[in-house]
Amino acid sequence: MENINDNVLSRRADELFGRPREQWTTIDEIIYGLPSYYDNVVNETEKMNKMRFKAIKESLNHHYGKSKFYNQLCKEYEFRPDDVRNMKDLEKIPMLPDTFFKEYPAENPKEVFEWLNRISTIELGNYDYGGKDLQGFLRWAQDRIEGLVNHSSGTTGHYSFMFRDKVTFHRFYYALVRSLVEIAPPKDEPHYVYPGSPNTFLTIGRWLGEIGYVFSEPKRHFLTDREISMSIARLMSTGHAKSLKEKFILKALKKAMIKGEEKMLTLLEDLDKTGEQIYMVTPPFQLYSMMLKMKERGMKLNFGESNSLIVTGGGWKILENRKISEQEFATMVEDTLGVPADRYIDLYGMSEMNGIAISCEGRYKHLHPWIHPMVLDDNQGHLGYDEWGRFAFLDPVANSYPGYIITGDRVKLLERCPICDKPGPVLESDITRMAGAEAKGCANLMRGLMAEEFKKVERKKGN
Amino acid sequence: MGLREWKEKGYFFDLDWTRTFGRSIPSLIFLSIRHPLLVMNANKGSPDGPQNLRPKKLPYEIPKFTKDMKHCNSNERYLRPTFLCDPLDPAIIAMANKLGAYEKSDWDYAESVFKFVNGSIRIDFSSPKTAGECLRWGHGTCIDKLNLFIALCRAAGIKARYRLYSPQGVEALYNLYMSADPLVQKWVDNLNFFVLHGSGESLIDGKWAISDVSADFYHGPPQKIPIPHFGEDPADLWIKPAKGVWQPEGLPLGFRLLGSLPFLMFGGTGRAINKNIRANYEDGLEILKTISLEEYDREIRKTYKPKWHDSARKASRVLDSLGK
Repeated sequence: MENINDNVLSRRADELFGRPREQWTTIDEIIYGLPSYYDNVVNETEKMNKMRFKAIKESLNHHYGKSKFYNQLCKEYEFRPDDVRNMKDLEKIPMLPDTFFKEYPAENPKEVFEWLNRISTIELGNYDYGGKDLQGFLRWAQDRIEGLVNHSSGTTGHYSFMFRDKVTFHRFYYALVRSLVEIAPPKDEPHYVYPGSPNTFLTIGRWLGEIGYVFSEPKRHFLTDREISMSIARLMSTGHAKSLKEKFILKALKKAMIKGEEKMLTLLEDLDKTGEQIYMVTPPFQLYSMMLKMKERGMKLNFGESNSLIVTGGGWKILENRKISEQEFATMVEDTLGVPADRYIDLYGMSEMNGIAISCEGRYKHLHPWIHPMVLDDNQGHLGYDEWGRFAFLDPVANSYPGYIITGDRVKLLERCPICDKPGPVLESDITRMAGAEAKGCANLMRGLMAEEFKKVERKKGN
Repeated sequence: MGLREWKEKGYFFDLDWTRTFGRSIPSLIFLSIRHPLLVMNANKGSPDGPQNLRPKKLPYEIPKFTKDMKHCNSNERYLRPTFLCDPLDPAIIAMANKLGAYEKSDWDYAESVFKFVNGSIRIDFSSPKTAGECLRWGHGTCIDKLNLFIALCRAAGIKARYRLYSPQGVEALYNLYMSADPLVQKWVDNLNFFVLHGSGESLIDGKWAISDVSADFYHGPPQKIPIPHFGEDPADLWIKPAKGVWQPEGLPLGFRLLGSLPFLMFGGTGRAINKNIRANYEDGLEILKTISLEEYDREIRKTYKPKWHDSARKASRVLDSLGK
């Protein structure tokens, strides 16, 4: 098969996120060693299952041996890693609810650090951060672990913090770049377009901003570089400005987004004229907003010809009063940007998982092959394929925390994709939140800000 | 009334009460000091939520009291009036007669009372009430409903007492009550139990039968919880003691005043919880339009396994136990 790593992006991913071969474990063999993540022939099911199983066992031994907290949790469940002898035994692994990552005792850097130290599998060293604000602390922590730090929107009053050490960060980011490259092989160096701000620790901005640094400076484009601090993120998530200052911040942000969007549309037009290939990664609501404006202006681009890729992710709530299906959205992408359905993908992921699921042309979500997915019932019993339940997963990539997580998402898992021949189980595209689980998806918070704008354009359209 | 009788009737905040409040109230005070914003928000929260769930029209009629109505007027333990639980209240006597006092067997009568209190009195989060008020107003907390259950039993000559404890509920209850308000949620998360819950015990054929009248029947279906039965310990199904149980004859004097304080201090909390309860109640009514209570209960019990909130928080407890 064609060497998909023979391109500028793969080489840069190797430079930035590669790991010395002598340090590779089974999960590294999968991430760095597999020639393809999505090829049915290369990733023959039985072989992949064995590799994943081995990687999970190694990860289990790592956390059991090095994390006092996880070791104690296993004892509480009367579980030892040796109890896992076959695939079925993976169900016995003690897991953490995703809400666990927001249970820090107080929003005070020292206390967050101490909490982090207790849940972490890696050594964090001494606390020598001199500041008092959390935003500065996150910067300090990120430098300390040489990894990636991000926080959730804080909608419920509490942020969820994720700290990825260098090992976890590199594995995950290498995998992300490789996935992009595999789906849409770059011609030369494509342009990276993210209509948001990279200057934040808020999950979506942090992730998508960071991935932009794989691209050379003139080839990466952001909507704004205005900082989205933790307090601004919380303000955006509630949408209720309590003081004049907060009202001003919200207004300025909205203005920056509208202005930035115009800048993006001009940029897209220019790139299309010169036939440049783009990788555009965006929350669905943001792209929707831009596509509405394009339709309104009769603007039609043809990025399909340059083998460009459009990627959405971060929550599917676009309009309050109407649901837009992924299929409908894909048609709109083709109509406005000229990108065919097989080059438009929607991602499913979450801040606790070091892997993503990408939609195929049938809009089924294909998980990265190292993630072991599970569906649980109300009593945390394991459901099989074809049943709706709570999504849980075992993620052997996580080195700095046990990546065995029970989420609040309601999913259905199918053993095989009914449409395409990519390997592995797939998730139905209609992923929602479980009853009682709090709303999630940091893209939603920016969507709230733009809700009024949508209404204006929708009204003009006469919808 | 002598000091001994007061003690028997549970009129003092004794060691059990001190232990219960001692292990829960300091945590609330600590949280309030540490997170003043939570308290402020709790007060302002849910302005559209109801202060209580008193029905506009009672779903039952209280008969007019007449002097010839049979009732028990004994000073024997567990039959006599206690604080907030007066079986000699005319409305209680009238209702006891309507429900079949002295006509049905003790078991059948107590079961009728159980069904009445569970089926017709709305559970809510409101200031403490007497048994008579609970009956006349048609709503109350678990303790108010328990006052009514016990008073109706005693009015019919059936000995009855309180079964009090700090409870731990199933995950669904946590989501319904505790997660409605961040202050309560944080408090319960810290404790891993709620401060107080009461079930009832009635002495029938020489045995104390445990029953729980707190969650009205409409509660179960939306939360996929079975419907409680008379004589069935809720600890097997949906709410269980996290700490020791004690079985006083009555509530202490001052309980009403003390119990009113949270409603004065954290008004928004009450409104938020009541809003959740009301929505759940309405969902329950909708579900029970399509399936009978008995049928629902039969079906759900085939597969139901209680998922205690504790299990979902195992990781948090382990982390807490490790200390700093």
